[in-house]
Amino acid sequence: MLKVEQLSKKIDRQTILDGIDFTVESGEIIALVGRNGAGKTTLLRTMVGIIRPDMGDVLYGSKSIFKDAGLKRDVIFVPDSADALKNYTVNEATDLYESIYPSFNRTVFRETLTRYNIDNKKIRQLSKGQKALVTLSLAFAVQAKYYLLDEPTDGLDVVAKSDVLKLMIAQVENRNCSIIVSSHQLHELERIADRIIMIENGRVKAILSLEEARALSIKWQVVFNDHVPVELLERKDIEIISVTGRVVLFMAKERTEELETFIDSYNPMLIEEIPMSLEDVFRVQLGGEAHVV
Amino acid sequence: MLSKVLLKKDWKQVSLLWMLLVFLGVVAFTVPAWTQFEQFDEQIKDARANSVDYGIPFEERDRLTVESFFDPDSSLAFYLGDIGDVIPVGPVVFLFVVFSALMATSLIGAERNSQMSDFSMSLPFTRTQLYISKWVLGASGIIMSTLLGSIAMFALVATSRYSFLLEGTVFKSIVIVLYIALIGISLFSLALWMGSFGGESISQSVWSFVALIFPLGILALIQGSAYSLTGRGDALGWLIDSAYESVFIQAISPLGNLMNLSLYEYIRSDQYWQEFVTISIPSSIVFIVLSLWLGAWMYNRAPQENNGRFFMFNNWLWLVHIIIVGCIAMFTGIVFTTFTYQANSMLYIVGFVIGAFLAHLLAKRLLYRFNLRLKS
Repeated sequence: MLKVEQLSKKIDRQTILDGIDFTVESGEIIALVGRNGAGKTTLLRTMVGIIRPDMGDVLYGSKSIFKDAGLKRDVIFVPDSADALKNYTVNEATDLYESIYPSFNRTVFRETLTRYNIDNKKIRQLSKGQKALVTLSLAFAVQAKYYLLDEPTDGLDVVAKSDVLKLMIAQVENRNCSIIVSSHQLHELERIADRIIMIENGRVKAILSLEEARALSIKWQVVFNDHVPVELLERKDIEIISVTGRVVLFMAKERTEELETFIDSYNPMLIEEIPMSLEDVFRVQLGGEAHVV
Repeated sequence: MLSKVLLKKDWKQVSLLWMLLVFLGVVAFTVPAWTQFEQFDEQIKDARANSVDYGIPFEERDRLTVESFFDPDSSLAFYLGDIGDVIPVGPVVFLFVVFSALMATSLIGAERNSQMSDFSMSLPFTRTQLYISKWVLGASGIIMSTLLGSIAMFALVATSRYSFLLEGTVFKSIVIVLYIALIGISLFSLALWMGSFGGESISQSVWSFVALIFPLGILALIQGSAYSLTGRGDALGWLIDSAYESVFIQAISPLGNLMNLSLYEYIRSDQYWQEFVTISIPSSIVFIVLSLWLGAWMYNRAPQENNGRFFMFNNWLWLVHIIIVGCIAMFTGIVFTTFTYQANSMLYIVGFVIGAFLAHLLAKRLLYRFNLRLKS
């Protein structure tokens, strides 16, 4: 079990992480979501010991990752670009990983390369998608227990994204490892994540399963008899998505009785609950003032 | 403590520089030695052709042997030099200065400029291991360069017409060459240490240059300021002169150690030789140990989130600020005094104040605004 305990970090007198606390169980995929600058990358970098926290700890079993560097054999961080290995050829990178991690499985890595038709070139000469696949495959071939992936599908085309996601799912299914993935590609996270950790201003806003996250907020399409009431449009606790004639589509952070009574008071012709996507949850929960009409 | 894997990783970053250093080391040891032989040849030829001009009686000219020009007690010829003139300390140290900076910035600064630093820190190794691996790689380049270069140089001397220069001086020559290697390692250790808090390549290079001249530079500024204020050349003279030659300066500055080097005295005088063996060599070893320890300590503690900044330890910016202001103020004060070609305390004070003000603005920009903006 990987345990993040009260992790706090200030950079330039700004609080980047503020008492982050959660645990990662075996075989789960955790999506780390939050707006730009929320502290996701700093959290991942801290969890692997790149950045030292001002307070708190990251425990693998009962040992601190900051005191025992050897623990990092089982906790692998994959940054959002392959810049670190750009001057290596694929074979050189393989040799390097094999020498660093005794558990590295060259056969598994080779299989991935063959499957995605990746040649032995300098990593900087590969396409963005190939770079992502190589760095992820190298990491997964280590056969570690925990993976911290920072924006693994950022900037990839649809096919490459799909390949990366398949690779991640296969790892969890085959080896029961855990993946913590930070990404803005919410529709993809929605397909793979078991739990969502919402980060806002360096704090954990919520840790939920996807179902819980969806149930947290509401998305309603309401058809009124006459016109959409101005009082509804002026409410601060909802986000209007669209208004077409008598039809309004909106989201609210919370399902409250007061809101339901308010809508009912206008005797709408129809109230339909639309399933929330993770992107909807993200918008309504973490969107901030700018997203609230 | 030392990991082969890390050596392999770091080798990838500096292999080209390492090999170039070894090759140029052979060139730097042999070419000046060869040129020195050519120069000896010219001088001997000229002395023989124009013996009278050199104060050698015409009838003695045929009795002049090549060896007699290298005998300080010879009554016939003038003294041309000894093995100390053949060992090319200057070119080799210059090579080490340049390559120490290049290798150290490739090993730390360039890592900090890219994501390689994050990659290294996420590996299952301690930061001390990371640092020591870098140091071993750089130091091995200097040792190999010295080893191959000096073997080639000694082979060149031994097979030349000046092989007699090695008679009775082989041991001293080898020790001097080892000392050059120690100076090279000191310079590399210094440049690597600067990378432990310089947030990227350029700042590491700047810090390395500053650290190289800092102890002697401060002494020169204090001496210059004392002269500018009092007009007396001997103001603080006893203090400064003894400081320049002190064991302390030799132990904290590779440049200070080099400034006290006198190969002629070491070859000829046992007393100087003893001082060299008991002070200069241990001083450079002390510096290597100190800088390696301090470098590893600071590398361990440097906040990784400050990569890309001019100075990584935000809590100590005030001290760097004071040093920058102090040094530039003294320098400007001295420069202002030179306008009148004589000591002028008033001009010194004016220059000091103007320099301090400008340095304060520069330091503010460099350490606070620029320091924050440099961040990648």
